[in-house]
Amino acid sequence: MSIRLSILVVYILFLGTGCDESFQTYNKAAAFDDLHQSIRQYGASVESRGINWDSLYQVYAPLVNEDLTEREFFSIIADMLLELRDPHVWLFTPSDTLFTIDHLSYVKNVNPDLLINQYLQDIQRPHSSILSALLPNNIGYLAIYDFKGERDLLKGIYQDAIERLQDTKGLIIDLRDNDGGSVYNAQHLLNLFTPERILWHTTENKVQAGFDTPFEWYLNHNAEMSYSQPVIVLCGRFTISAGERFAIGARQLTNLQIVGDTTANTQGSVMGREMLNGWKYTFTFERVLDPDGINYAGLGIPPDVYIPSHQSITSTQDLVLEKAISLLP
Amino acid sequence: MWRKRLSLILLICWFNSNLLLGQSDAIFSIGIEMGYEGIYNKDVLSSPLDYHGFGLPIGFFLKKEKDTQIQELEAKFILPFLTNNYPIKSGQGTQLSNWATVQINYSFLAKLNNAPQHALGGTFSNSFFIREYDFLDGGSWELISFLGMTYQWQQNINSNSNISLRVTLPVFSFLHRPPDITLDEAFLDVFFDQGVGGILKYGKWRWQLQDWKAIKVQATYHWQLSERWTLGCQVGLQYYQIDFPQQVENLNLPILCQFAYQF
Repeated sequence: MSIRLSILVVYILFLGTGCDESFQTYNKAAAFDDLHQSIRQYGASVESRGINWDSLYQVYAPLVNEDLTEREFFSIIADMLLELRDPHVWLFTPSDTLFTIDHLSYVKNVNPDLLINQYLQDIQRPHSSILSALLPNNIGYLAIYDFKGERDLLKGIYQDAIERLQDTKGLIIDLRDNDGGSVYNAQHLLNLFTPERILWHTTENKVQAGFDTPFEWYLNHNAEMSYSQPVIVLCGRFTISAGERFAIGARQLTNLQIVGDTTANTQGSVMGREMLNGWKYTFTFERVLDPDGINYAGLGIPPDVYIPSHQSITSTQDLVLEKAISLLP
Repeated sequence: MWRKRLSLILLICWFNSNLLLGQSDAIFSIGIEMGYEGIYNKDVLSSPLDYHGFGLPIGFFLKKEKDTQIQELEAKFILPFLTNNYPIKSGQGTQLSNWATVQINYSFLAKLNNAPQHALGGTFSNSFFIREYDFLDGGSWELISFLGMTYQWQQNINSNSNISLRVTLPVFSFLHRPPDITLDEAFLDVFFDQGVGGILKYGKWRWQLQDWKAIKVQATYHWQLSERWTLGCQVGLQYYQIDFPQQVENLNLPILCQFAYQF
């Protein structure tokens, strides 16, 4: 009896401490199948972008066999994930990383050093994600690098920044290097330019049985602080995620205009999962529709005034910024 | 605040009910328990991998035993700030970055007239297991509140020790899980505006075997160290499987040392 009890205790302790430090072997075909099914089941990109995900299984599954090295398996997985062309799709392994946006041939249409050296005056950095400055002819400038951070804190910082620029005759909001963040922060900033409550966009989460009930997002007038002069929003291919949702809002507001290039092409929120081998990946789980029901996933938000990214910057000129300045009174 | 005071008063009243009712044949125990708890969890909603590890639970219990009945109240916790909390890991090196469990159980058992070593009754149990996975927005939980049937068999070994086996079969429960793979905006709005109470509406009422199954087994060896002090060693098994929104399977294997004072 005591021997059996000892064996039981040892088994329980083994169960509790888990395996030793070396990882369990895994079946690559099973890991591939699980990933493919998870993207179909939980990802919004397949339907949003009209991708025949099942046909891609027929292309890539035959390439998977148990003799592949980890690097070779990563390459096959990465190639399949790149078919989504979704900047929210990332893949992390112990030795490799995939960021989809690095493979989309996007050109950045902003040069921060050129801005600081040639154009901006009286620069302030109220937060790591925000740069506030003045341009000639009493034009305000606000660069928003992301929408990450605590909501109440950023709401106050946005209001303070706008208050500083309250007496300018026009404002330029630069989102050309904005990699997204909290939609709520984007909403707080947009509210400062919103004269009355309007529908901003709707979102639907991908669930097992399709998409769930649409959720309506609204912009509301901020009674504490608002800016009523004309605003130009600068966008480009590196305006991503919540930055793109800001652009959707800018299209709804008559006092805002978008100049630059089309945004990145992924507006929905992102989540992460892991594969059967412990590799981690991210994808978009949300479908975003503008008030007219248009889904810009895979396309990006088009500007009102288009300047191709590869024609935006010279060594001495920021042509997007100069166009924006010319549009302001 | 008044709710907490009322709860404390009710607890004291229950604990001293023999004095209030003039009964003097009850044995009261108050004790603490601590030990080791192996955990296995596979939550398909969050990950295709199964996770296993252990925690160091700590808890307390109150027990009232008479010739005809047993009442027991137990609260047990595995909380990061209370115990030395080790990460629960998968076989592929991923781990839960944060996790915690809380269990609060109340049992009432009536001893059989002609066979007092057997007791039958019920248990009201509440358990909560919340965990965070170490990648973007990965998290999940189970809140299980059930009413169940409990059977206990107890046998004296000698004048100072006994062994008991208790089996609890949940019958009816309130189950709360994440509503789906992601927490949608409507859910988050309710949570931020109304707190935990607001999101309880996403729970489901279920009978055993209706999208859910569970069982709990405990074996305890008691030593009467002295007239007042007892020592117990308990080995347990708690299993549940919930099939919504996707299947989660969980196994807890506690090994506890219980130290109690009788009066």
